Amino acid sequence: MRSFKGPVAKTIPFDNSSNGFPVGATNVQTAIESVLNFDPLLNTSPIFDDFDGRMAWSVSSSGTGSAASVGGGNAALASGSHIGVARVAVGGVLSASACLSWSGTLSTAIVVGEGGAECRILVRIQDLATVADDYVFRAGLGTTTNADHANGIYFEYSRADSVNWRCKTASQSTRTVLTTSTAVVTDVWLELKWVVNSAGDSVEFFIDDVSQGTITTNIPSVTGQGCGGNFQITAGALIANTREVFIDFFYFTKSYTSRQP
Amino acid sequence: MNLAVLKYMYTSYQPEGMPDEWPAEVRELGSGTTLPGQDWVLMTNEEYEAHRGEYQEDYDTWWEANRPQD
Repeated sequence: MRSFKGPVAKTIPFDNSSNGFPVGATNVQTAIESVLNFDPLLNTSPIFDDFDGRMAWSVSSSGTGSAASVGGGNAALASGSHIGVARVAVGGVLSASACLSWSGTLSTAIVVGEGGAECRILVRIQDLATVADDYVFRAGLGTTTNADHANGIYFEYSRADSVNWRCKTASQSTRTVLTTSTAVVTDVWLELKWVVNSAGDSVEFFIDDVSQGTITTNIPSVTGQGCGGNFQITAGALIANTREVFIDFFYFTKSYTSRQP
Repeated sequence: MNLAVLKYMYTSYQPEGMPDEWPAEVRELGSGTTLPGQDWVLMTNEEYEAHRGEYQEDYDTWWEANRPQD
């Protein structure tokens, strides 16, 4: 066990509620020691993708003008502090869809529970959905490329249901829905985040670090209910023009309540 | 906690073969009892888990035939 001795480190309080450090890192000294003594059997190495092309995402799309891409996105957006931007877009045809998702066995690799977990995503909605140009956007963990998820924890923008962001959990094709009071807005980057407690029986959702509420049912925490990174856009009942959403990064981390054998 | 539960039989998006009784959507009501619509059913957590248990085998059969392919 490596230790760190700073002259005042133990007296400096440390808020570890939203930064991924293990529980117990409540001052600077223990926070630094938790990094020095990182145990991969107690914590997954954080999965972070800045959509710069290093991580493989499965790309699927259907319908003229629909597309999903990583690393390209919009050149004007992929600049400054937003290096590497992914894009999902639906063309103006009915039944169109596009999705970026983890592929193969990774697509069902994550089951929450037996420890805490946290997921963070930065997204940018370009145009609001309308009756004439309707679409649904889902971001987070999921299982499906062109319909609602069977298993997952994610945010949803579905104009037909609400003009506000909706938070959802899904387990075996049953979804719990929490409609927030936060309206979907365009042309701004928003951080969507959810945190699962260590028991795996509660998920708190955040938008730009403001809590949106908690869900305690239909959390995919049982073997066989695995899910993976997923960004999905599907056309609504009517759509005439291309609609697109940009994603700047995907971050996921999980800690275990006991060392994994 | 009270839950509002909507079964697949009352949705417009019931996949072919999905058991009618399988829950499609849930809203957590806390101690409240106001349902979102006429087709929703009020259940406690325990009643909800028991209901899912009753139809679990039917759902599993459907899932095996309809799970997304890699």
